[in-house]
Amino acid sequence: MARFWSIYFMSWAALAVALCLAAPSLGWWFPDTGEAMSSIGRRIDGLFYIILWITSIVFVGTQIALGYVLWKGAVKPAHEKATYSHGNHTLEVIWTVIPGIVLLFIAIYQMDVWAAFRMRNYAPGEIEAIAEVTARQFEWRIRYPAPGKPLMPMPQPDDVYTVNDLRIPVGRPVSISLRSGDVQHSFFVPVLRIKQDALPGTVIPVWFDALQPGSYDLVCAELCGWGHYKMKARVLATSEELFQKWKQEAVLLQADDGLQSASPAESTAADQAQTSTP
Amino acid sequence: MPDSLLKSMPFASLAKTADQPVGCGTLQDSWHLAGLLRSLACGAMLLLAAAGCSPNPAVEFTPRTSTTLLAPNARQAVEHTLLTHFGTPDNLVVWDRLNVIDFGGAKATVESLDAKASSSAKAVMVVTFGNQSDVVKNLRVGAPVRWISGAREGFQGDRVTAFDAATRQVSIALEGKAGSAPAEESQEESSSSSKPAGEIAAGDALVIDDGGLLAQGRVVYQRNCMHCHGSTGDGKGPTAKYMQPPPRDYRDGIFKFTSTQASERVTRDDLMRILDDGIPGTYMPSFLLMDPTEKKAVIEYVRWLSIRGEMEKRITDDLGDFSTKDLKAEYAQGEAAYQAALNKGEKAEPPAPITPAVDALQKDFAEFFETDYQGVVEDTADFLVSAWERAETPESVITPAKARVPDDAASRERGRLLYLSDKTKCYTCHGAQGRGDGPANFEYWKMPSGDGNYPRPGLHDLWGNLLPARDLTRGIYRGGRRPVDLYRRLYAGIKGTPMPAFGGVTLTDDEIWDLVNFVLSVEFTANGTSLSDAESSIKKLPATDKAQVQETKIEKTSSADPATPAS
Repeated sequence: MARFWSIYFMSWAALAVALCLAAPSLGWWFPDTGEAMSSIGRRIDGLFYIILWITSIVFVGTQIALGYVLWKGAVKPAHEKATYSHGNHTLEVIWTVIPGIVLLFIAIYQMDVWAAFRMRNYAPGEIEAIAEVTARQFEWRIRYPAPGKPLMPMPQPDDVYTVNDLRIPVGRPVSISLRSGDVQHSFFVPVLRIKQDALPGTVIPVWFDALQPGSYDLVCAELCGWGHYKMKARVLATSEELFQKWKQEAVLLQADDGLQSASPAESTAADQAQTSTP
Repeated sequence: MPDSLLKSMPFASLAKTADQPVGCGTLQDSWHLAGLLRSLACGAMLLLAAAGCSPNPAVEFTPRTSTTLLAPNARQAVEHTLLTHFGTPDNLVVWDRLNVIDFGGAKATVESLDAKASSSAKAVMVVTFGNQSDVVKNLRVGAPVRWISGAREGFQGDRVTAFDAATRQVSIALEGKAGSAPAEESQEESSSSSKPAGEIAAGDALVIDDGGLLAQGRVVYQRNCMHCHGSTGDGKGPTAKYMQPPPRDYRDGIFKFTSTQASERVTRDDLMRILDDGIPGTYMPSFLLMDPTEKKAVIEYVRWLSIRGEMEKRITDDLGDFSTKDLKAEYAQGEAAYQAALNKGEKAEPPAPITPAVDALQKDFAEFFETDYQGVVEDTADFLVSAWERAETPESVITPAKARVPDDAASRERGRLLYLSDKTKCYTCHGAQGRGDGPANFEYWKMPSGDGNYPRPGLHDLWGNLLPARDLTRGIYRGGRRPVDLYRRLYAGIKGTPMPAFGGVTLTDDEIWDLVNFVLSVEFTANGTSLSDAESSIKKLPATDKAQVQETKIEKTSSADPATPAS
């Protein structure tokens, strides 16, 4: 009975470890396959796993030590005096320096990934600004430049617009200009591991890539009002070819003059041709 | 402790009883109790404050103000009509007369009845379905069954208990009871057909999962739309008060951004477009990723709500003679005058009560009800059905007769001159610069109800909301930014707003297109963007298959203008 409590307390730690090990198979893990679908996301996952390993080792180690102390102490005779170690200089130094080293390691180790995600000079070169994404209560309004043109900071007459539907080409880094039309929002694509707050009055470039074609959920991760839950959109990653084709179709759809013509200019030409030939 | 001090304290009575030596505790104890009670009361108040500012509104169809102002028996008649033909949000009624609504459900005829497997509680039969194959595929157990012919017509409460899609065999639990109103008809019929009431025979027609789509639409509507648009569709949901512009009130059958002629209702496609794209510049968000069946269902529900609302409006307007509005207004005026006179100390007569006048109205209405009321209801229903039917026909949709005039500087200049001309008078509302600051926004306007001017200066929409003219420099086009959308706005106006229809009479097609080109350019010229880019981009449009086909056509006719970009 003396050891009941040591077993009882240790069993909770064991249960926690067991649940963590079982978590991925129970679906308590990253969405979809569990693997990030962007290259920066994979590097972020790498950091996550390093930290997970460090904390796991520390957790298991401290729990074993704690269990050992409980186990040993449980059978000590009641009259035996406990050792009083408060103020022990050597111990204090040891358990300050070791976590310090671990934290310093993490701080230095993650700098590359942070820089690659957030700093222009360290991001992969040749990132095309593909669209301007404006979050507003409660939807994502997206503006693309016309095919073959760069994205301009101000709207252009030939821009293409979509709502809640961000199309990107797969396999190459692209960036969006993130803005907010009203309050603070957050651009969050869980499968790509991309999260960036949108601030009113600021244009924030965010780059990412999609390694595989697919439709990825885009949600708002900043409580922005009563309709926050409605801000569900998708990032549709397609092949370069399909992306360009879609854009051209979107241009035509947007130039629709109600006569199902290919484009305003051509249809006018056709119209004139028809009227001039009796 | 002196009595006076005790009395001034909260819970003084408690403290005082404890002070007297009757035994059950000392003064200190009782103060503990008081403190506990006080903290409990504080906690309860905090909880109340946190839990809710106001209770959830009841999910019910609420009558219009004009309906509530009818003479009591007229109001009762209107509400009864609506209740029998539309039901309540929790108990929707499928009204066959509204054949413009897809209520869902599969129409079927009994092919053969399996007499062996059937009993008084269950009927097993093979049925032949109409053409609604998707309903058949998703037919759910427990779906309600409605008989439209045969001896069971008018029975309510029968349900599907088993269904085999391959053999088309359906088991129906005969839990239904003869309904109240329709039962009279069915009894007459059954007596004439000399069959015992409630017996199913081959050839009987039934609807399985009757109103299924409408019921699904209601669920989607209550989840996503009701908090702004209200359960009646009156645009007065609990979140509506935080919104500018306010949510649409569907009950007039008027939707602003449609593709139809000025006098026509909205099409399903228009509503779908609004659901997909939202309305920029307003709180209406995009529901692009909603399940397509849900979108279809909610569109049907909104159309149904709109028909219900307009039905109420039209019947109530027709019964205008029985309205107590003027009587009540007059009485209120008399009462105010009487009070004012009393306050001044003058002698005055109180206004005569309106009860006799209302009684006279009631008597009139009782007569009217006997003779004409049913006719009013049926005429209104016929009118609405034909109006909503017409909206879905291709003729009601505005298709430009001519293709868009090339968007070049000359066209935009022609558009600008039209914009500033007295022919269109665009500038009076939208302002000379297109900033939505025309003089009309600062004038007092008459109310359409004839009750004098609006209290505030500025343009108003049909719903009585202040509606500033659109600022064209912002580049926000609520009804969509495709050229055809703007064409339709100019051609048919914006329903329910002061934006007039120019199509057909005032402006020719080319003139409308010139205006469209100008309006689309205002955003950029006002913001200092050069428009040469726009021109060149349109010329450099990517050659898709369609475009190539067009090009080859042009080459064949070989009379393409060399100046046009296609060549």
